[in-house]
Amino acid sequence: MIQRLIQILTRADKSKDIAKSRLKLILVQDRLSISEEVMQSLQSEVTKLLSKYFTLNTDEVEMDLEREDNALALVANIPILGMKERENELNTTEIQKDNEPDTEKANKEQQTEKEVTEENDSN
Amino acid sequence: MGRVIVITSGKGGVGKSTCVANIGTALALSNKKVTVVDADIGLRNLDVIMGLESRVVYTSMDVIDGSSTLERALVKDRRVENLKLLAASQRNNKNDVEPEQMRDMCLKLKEENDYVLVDSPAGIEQGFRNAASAAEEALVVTTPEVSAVRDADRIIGLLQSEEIHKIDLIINRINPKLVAKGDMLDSEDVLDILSIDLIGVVPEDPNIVGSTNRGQPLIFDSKTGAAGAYWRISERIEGKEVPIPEFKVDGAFTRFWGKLIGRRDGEIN
Ligand SMILES: Nc1ncnc2c1ncn2[C@@H]1O[C@H](COP(=O)(O)OP(=O)(O)OP(=O)(O)O)[C@@H](O)[C@H]1O
Ligand SMILES: [Mg+2]
Repeated sequence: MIQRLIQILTRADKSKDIAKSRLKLILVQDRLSISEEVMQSLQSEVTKLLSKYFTLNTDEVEMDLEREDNALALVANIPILGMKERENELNTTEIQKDNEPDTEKANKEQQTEKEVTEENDSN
Repeated sequence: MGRVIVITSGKGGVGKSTCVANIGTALALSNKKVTVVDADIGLRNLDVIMGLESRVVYTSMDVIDGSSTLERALVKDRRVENLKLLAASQRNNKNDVEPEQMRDMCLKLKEENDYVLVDSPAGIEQGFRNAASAAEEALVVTTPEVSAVRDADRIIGLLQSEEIHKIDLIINRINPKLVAKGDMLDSEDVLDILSIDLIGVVPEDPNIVGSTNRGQPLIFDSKTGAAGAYWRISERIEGKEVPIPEFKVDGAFTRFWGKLIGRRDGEIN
């Protein structure tokens, strides 16, 4: 009984504190996801950077902010068609991509970032 | 030339119309010329809250389609000088009105009034854009709940993108008992999160129900509780410096006693 009263009076887990921290996180996410433009330009810059190393299926790139546990995560799904050889210039690969008849096939068998590490030999 | 102020919220049912009725009445009682506009087309209820429903003949829709003049559509409140209502049509819906049409009407009203208070529907759709179309200022109403505050944040963003930069916050239905227990966000918490200017804190007040039942805004009969808060908000709108009191119940010890002997404590002060 006494314990219960102490608990009521000193409540460590004030529900308003929980409410406040949840709200803060929700709003970070809301505010970010509202600024579509920022997301768009982030996506195009990240894609540009990764294109130096990989041939990407740029039409299928997905990028979003997601809530995970108590943090906000930038989750990206970037289908990779192949590895670029270091010596290759950006331009050559672009041409390669356009001319290669296999591209469509490759499109269908999109690989995600995770899978690509083991399989990029096949291309 | 008066001021057009839109009263809005993201979440519905947080107390916008009650605010408009009471703050509008308070301003009129202080000898200002006021017109309150119900922009909640299709779900009108400002007329009911103000007890003017039986005298509504024409609505803003009739003004727009030309079947009434603006002057004729205004319902005069007989309890106080200089308070008028422009009612919304119940039969139409929000998309039947264009923002420009709403804007024209409000700008005309602005010429003849000190204040035009526009009661916006909740949400972020066309109804909101209509209501905000003529406003240079906004009062955002929220309750101290996660969902309401979240939606308030969204509406604040939209107001800013509509080029409305004077935005003040009303926190409605603060329950001092719950705040004291740590079970409700207090005004500081909400402000911390929304970071806009606070213009008033309205306590949860059981008298609101009766006043709505009677169609007589609380402000006519009371100067305490929610009515006191509405008064102070109207004074702050007028530019007076009025402190915002904290709504607190008696200290922890009394609450402790209250719990032990099962007493229902704490009048709202
Ligand atoms: N301070 C208060 N204390 C107690 N009850 C309140 C208070 N403010 C509003 N209410 C009640 O909350 C309910 C909703 O109020 P109101 O109709 O003003 O909200 P609203 O934001 O205009 O709703 P809607 O989004 O549907 O237009 C009503 O029943 C009203 O009586
Ligand atoms: Mg309403």
